[in-house]
Amino acid sequence: MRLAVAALAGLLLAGCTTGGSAPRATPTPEPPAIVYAAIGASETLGMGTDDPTRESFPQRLLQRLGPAATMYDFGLPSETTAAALKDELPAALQVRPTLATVWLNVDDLIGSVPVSDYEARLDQMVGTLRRAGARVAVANTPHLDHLPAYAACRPNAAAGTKCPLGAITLPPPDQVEALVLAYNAAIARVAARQDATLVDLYAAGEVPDLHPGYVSKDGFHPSAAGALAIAGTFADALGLAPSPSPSPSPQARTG
Amino acid sequence: MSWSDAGLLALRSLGRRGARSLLAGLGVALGTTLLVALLSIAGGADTRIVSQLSHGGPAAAIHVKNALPDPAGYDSDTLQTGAERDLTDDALTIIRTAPHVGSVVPVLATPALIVPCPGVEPGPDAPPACQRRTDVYFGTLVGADLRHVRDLPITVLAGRVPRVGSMNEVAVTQSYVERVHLSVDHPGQVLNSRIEIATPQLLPGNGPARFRGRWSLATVVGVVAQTVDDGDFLTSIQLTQAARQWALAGVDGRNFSRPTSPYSGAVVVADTLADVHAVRREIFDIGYANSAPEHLVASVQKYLHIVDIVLGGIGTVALAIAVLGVSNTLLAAVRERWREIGVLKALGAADGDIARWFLVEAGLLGVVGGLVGTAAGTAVTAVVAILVDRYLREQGLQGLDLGGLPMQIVIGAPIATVLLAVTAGLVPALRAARLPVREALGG
Repeated sequence: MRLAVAALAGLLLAGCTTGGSAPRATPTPEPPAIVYAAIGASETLGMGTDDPTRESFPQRLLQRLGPAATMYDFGLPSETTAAALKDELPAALQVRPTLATVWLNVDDLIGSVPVSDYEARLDQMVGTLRRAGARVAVANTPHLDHLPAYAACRPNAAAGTKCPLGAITLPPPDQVEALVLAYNAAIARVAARQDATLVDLYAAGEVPDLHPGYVSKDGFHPSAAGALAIAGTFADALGLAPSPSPSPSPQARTG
Repeated sequence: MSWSDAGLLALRSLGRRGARSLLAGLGVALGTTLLVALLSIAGGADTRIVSQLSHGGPAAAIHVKNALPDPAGYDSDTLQTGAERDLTDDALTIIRTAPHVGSVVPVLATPALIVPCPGVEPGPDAPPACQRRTDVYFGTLVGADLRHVRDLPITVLAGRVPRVGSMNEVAVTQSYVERVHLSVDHPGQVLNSRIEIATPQLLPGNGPARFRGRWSLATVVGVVAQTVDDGDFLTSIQLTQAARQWALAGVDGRNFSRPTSPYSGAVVVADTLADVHAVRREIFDIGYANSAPEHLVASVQKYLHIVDIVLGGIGTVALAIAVLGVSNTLLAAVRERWREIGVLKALGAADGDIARWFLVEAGLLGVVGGLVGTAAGTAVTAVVAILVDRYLREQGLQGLDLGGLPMQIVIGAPIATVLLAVTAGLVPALRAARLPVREALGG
């Protein structure tokens, strides 16, 4: 029974890239004060945490927002901005969000999407959400070149290590860093242009070195402690008051 | 000898034999207490239960399901359903306008993923409901139109029911209290804890089932016992409607079908108990399965009547024994007062005067015993009512207000006691009255 529940919970959280028609969400009879739409990829679903139902960064942010909020998690694994424009944005608009978080960049970056294309799609997404009346917090790209997964996907990876991103070979650290900076510059321009809130995850520095506990066992996704820290960065950027109820896990405290 | 002289003489006689009079009066009082208490409790319980049943209380509720009726269910108390059938606003309007229908409360139950204590790390510093980790599980939210909460089979065990239309308040049942490792004896400990509710929406596609979640936080504001529908959580119907609409916006899957009925059921209350069967029949004819405990109610009424007879009989026997005590006391008094009786008769008292003296004495014992007994019976009834109500609520059942003492018992008990005491005093009074003067004066 417990396995069945876990499986269903997993299914609930682990939607994957999909095309097809957008869901039809009708407005609630008495809309909550905050309708929060979380748009993103696997990190938005909570992959890498032990319990995505409690520990993903949108969950942590919802806990900060409190019972006045309803959160719709549109995150899908391996989602790029191009896919999200088709899979996530229409569904998000249906729920009439008052707040949206957008964290979409790593999969574009891994997929070698040109910065100009990325910027145009992100601009379309953030602009559409803004015009729909949502406050939008858009996250930039954190440092990637010290992630264990990055090292595992390099040609000179240590024997026995497996690249969690599949059969790809990532460029050298200086090129990755340059790409990250270019993406982040594009994200900053979009945020400024659309009057969105920039969530500066890059400013946290080389997280794998500074806070090893923030990286999950897969060497790529944020752990529960990392997701909590990311939610904190989002909350700070949005100017949310500290929440008295959620208490960080011991892992988060030591992370 | 006037009635007042007889009264004074009786009072003096009672005072002279204080201990015996006290015991005789106490016996009458105890008998009256028992009779009053038993009749009041039995009558009060009957009145309240039948009142609840016949005037539209929760026990008389007719549960309607979004399903076609099974003909076998016509004469059954239990729900027997055919194929699913949407229960719409139009259908509820038709039911509402049927004869003898008092109220119709729509209900919408919907499954949801429940996350107990989101964002709270288990430990001694956490709220009581969150001190031990509770796994995520699939539960059922029972949404009802809480404007009509009095018509619903709900008993509040702690806290309150959610506000009408609230999207972030829930009341939980005792099974949730147990699930979060708390004792059902202290349901209030779960109050003010939070749960997170997730409703799944199935995404289109040919591969494995893919869901998308709608997540919301809710505060536990109450603990209830409810039979509105099967589920751990009582919420406003607006909350379950929002969850349902989200699920409906997805697609059907192989093992995940979207319910299309706007309501999963309704609670219909008939005008009177006698109308329940007719209303059920009407709802069957409209085309919906339903259930009501009408056979159970009839059986309960029958048994309550038997209980009334037994309890009343016990009380009457107790009072009769007490009255026989009065008779015995007065018979002993007659023997002790032979000389006194003889002197009175020698001074010109008639047989009727002597009889009046003893009858007044018996009446006084009846008055005092009856009044004290009625007062004590009232107190006993009040204590029993409190204890029974508390016990029922602790067991998660609907509380029972036995109400105040019926006026006919308050007035009738002392009068009946006096009449019985006077009747019991007839034999001693007649014996005293017929006593020859010579024999009485020691001849």
